[in-house]
Parts: sequence; C-alpha cells; structure tokens
Amino acid sequence: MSRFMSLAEAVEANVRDGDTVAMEGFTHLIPHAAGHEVIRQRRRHLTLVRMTPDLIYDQLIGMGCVDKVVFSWCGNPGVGSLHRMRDAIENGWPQPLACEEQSHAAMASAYEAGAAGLPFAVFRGYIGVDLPKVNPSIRTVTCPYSGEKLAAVPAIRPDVAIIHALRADRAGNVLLEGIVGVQKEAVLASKRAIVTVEERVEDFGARSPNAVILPSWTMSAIVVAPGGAHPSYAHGYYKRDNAYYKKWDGISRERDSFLAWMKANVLERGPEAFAEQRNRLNLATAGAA
Amino acid sequence: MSESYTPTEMMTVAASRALKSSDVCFVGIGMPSAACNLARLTHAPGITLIYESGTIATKPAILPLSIGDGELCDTALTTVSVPEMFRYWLQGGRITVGFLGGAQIDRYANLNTTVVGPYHKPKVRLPGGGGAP
Repeated sequence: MSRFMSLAEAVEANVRDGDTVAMEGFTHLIPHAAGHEVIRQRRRHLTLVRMTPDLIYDQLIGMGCVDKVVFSWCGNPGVGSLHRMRDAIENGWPQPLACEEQSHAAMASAYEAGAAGLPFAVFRGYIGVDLPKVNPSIRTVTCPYSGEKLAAVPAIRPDVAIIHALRADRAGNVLLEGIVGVQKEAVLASKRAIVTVEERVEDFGARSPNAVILPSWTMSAIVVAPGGAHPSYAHGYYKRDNAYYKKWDGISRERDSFLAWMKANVLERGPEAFAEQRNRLNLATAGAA
Repeated sequence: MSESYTPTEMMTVAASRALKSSDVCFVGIGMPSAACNLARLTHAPGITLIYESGTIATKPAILPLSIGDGELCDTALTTVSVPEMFRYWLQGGRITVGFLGGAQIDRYANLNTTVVGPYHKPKVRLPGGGGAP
C-alpha cells in the first residue's frame, strides 16, 4: 500500500546502492525532481533502465551514481548528444559506464513481460540488425506453430520504478493522461515504486473511465512534487521547457560547467526549485494566452 | 524571397514530395517530421502521421522539438501507450511508410545510428536505434 511522504523519505526508503532503477516517462512526465533527490542522496552503483535516457540520466551519470544503463535511444531530443553520457562511454568520466542497448520495441515489450510476470518478451524485430552481436540478451525463439524465428529479450524487472503522474487522490491512487508512455508497465514490473505527482486532490471527479489509473496498492510511496517533471512537462499543468533543453547542451558540454551547475541547482536546492519552475511556466502560458 | 537553399532544405522538400495523401506514416523527429508536416500542409492533406510517443493522426500547428511534445498529443485523434504503439500499430503493420533519420547510410542502404568506431570503444557514441529496429 502506498503512503504519502516527502521526496527525501521516499528515495531514502526505496532506492538503495546497487539497485536496478527504472525512471520512465516518454518525453512527457519525466521524474526529474526524484532524479535530483537520488543524486543528493549520493546513491552509487545503480543500473538505470530507461527507453530514452535524456537530461535526467545525463545528470545521474555525470554525478557518478551509475554503473550501467539499459536503453534504446540516448539523446537530448531535438537538440543533440548527451555530453555526460558520451563522456562516460567514450572516456570513462567520472567512471566507466556499461551499456545494454535495445530497441524501443524490445524495451516496451520487455516492460510488458515484466508487468505480466513472464520471463521474456517475444516480438518481430531486430531483422538485419547488428545489435545482437554486441548484446547477448537479444536472442531468437521459434514459433511452435509456424516455425517462424522471432526476437526474444528478457523481461525487465527493476527493483524500483520512479515515475511522475498528474495527480493523486486522498487514498493514494494515481492518475496519468496524455502521452502515458510505458509508466504503467514499469510500475507493475517493479518490486517497489515511487510516484511523484503535481497535486493531491480529494477525489479524481469526472474522468474518462479509460484514464490510466494506478491503484494505491501497486505503489510504495506517493510524493506531492509540483513541477516535478520540469523541464519535461505535465499535461494540463505546464508546457515542455524547450529552451531549457537547448541550454543544457552548453551547460553539459564541459565537466566544470556541468559540476558548477549541478552544485548550484541540484546539490544546494530541493524540490521547491521545481515548484518555482512550474509557477514561472504557468505565468508564461497565461501571458501568452 | 530567398533564392538560396541548403542541402538539408532540399532533402526535406524532396522527401516530402515522396509522400502521398493516402499514406499512414511513422514519423521520426527532426527532418522527417518537418517533411511529413510539409506534405500534410501542401500536396498530401489526408496523410496520417503517427509518432512513436503514441500519438495517432496528429496535426501539429507548431513543429515539435521532441517526439512527445504536448502539441502532438493535443492535436492527435487518439494517444495510445508506447507498448501499444509498437505492438499493434507498428508490428501490426498498420503503417504504409516509415520515415526516420540516420547518421550514416551505406551504398546498400544500411543505416548507422549507433556508433562511429568500435562498439565497445567508440569514437562517437550516437543516440542508437530507438524506434527503428
């Protein structure tokens, strides 16, 4: 059963050194505030799983929290490279980084298999691709009915999933709408789950009966963290801060500028920094309307 | 009106002209997205654009920076989960054409989006295959 707690308490209780952690959110609802808390608590030797490692994994990798990344696309979307992740892979700074590389289809299917309690996922993919030569987890199975060879990858079963959702009700149930990505599967595939939300409401009220809702008993901790997805966005609350993604390219390019930024904006700040960003972007939206 | 153009602009326009109004197109971000929306706003108004973030039949008024900008969801006919996107819509064969970018292409049309140099000691680490393989 989930319970409401502070961000610091939630990470303290659920993320341990050496854990396999999946922070999901497909462009929308990326759990940046929670990622910063993991950095502040100086977790080490993590295996991070994520379809699209972007700024938050760049920051965790550059701060030395990560031994291995499991991913299918790494980049600053629409902008360019993740300089900290590249520095770790190409130069071993601040420490060497192991990579297990998949495709989106493979990872989406592997999360589904994890949520379903199956040992592996099967799909039609990786045809004519070299990745299986460098990733031994990519194998094939033969269809028992047709004899067709299909791709297989092991289920993803993280120790802990961390996601950001729109709101929680009083009982600790959680609602997501918009681009819902693979978060439901990530939570249901994991042993523990931390969910940060924009707000806590008494009751969800009128909603589509098909809205994505995670019942409270599927999660370990709920944290009210307004703006917690910034510079990603929260549908109906604030827009994606595209200017910030462009700015990150310059901040992260050099080790010194990266470390100085992390000290000023992460190590010496807390979740309140995200609420400030949400207020700023809300005002910007109101001003433009 | 400018009379000069860049090779990138020419490539984008040429690619746009290869798309038909009857196509259901799986759209990559960047140049493919620009070309697909150019087609939709000119000679192929009926084209259905699908982005891997789950947005189906989306009609963005502003070109998205990322594959999952809110604009794509706000203007979509429907938005599905990422596993549903890859299983039912792509693997299920509901598209007529896929339009993606790549860092390198060889004379056999093999694409490279992964690394330049040896895989385990790359000279340049590229973003990876993403939705392509």
